[in-house]
Amino acid sequence: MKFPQVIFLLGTISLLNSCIERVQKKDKLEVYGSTEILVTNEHGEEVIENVTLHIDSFEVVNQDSQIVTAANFKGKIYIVDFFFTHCPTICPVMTKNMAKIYDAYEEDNQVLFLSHTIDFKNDTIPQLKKYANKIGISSKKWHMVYAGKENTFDLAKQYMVSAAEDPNSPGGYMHSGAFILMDGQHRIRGYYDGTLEEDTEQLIADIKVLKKEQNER
Amino acid sequence: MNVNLRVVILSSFVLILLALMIFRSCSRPPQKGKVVYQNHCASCHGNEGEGFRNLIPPLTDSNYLDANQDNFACIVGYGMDQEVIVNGTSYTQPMAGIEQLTPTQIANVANYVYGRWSTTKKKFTPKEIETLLGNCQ
Repeated sequence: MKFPQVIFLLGTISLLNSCIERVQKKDKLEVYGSTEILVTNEHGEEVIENVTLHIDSFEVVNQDSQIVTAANFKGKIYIVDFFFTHCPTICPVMTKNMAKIYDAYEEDNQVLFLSHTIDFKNDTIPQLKKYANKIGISSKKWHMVYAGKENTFDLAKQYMVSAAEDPNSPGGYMHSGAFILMDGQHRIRGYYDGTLEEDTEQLIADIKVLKKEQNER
Repeated sequence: MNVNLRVVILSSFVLILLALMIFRSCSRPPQKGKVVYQNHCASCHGNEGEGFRNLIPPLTDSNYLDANQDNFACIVGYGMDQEVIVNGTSYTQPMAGIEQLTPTQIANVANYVYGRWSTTKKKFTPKEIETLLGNCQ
């Protein structure tokens, strides 16, 4: 092969390489979530608006037995998931990926984590604490919470992810492996597969976009 | 340059390359096992078998591997739900068995893991794995 041809080949390869960039750069994040039609009366005229529901009323208990409410997350950026500590399949991977995001924003007080257990029999507060200690995380930043069956499944519905008891699933519970990115107004801004490394990288990048948006407000 | 000399240089270069390739493929752990490892094990245990904090044990403890040659197939096939001590740390996270793996695939992944991290470098045959799986508790 002649010299110019080699250069051409190398050029093509590097071009192709840049096309398959793993993390997508975004300027703005979408708003997700169920909406409600709001009819208001403004100066005698009916105004119909489609409003996104905010997930802003919950009260849960974290691994330190502290009560955590939506107010703790107001103005923050947080990532929500559903898991259980005895889960033999996808949760260890999810925890591992979540810890990667945690590490990336460890010094950033604006970024928090909220993991809901769906095993209401085994995941007592001490059990959640034990699990948190094994990963070596701070309860000020990463809340592993117990909310009881009804509240938790109701919250899962609001976040629009699946979580349920299922005797046929390994460990006895079936749940989504999603990471849900939330903004400071308790709105859903992104869904990511918590079992995938690519999605984890994307989430780490998207937090920056959301941070910029919130700091400009 | 003399044509003959060029041929000699070129062919010796090709020969060295070939020898290197053969040497590398022989000294590396089996590649089929690597594929199984990456698809079913690496997301938790890590590409380098490093494990994850105090939640998921590393696979790099040769003492554990050497002592558990007979259990390896059962753990991969049927999972594990009891405390293990690896490198002096206790791990209690249950692991699910990967039921869809065939004895050949388990043998491949066992050879990959043992080839990389055990001292005995034990080699498993699919037949041996089948027998071991039959004896799982």
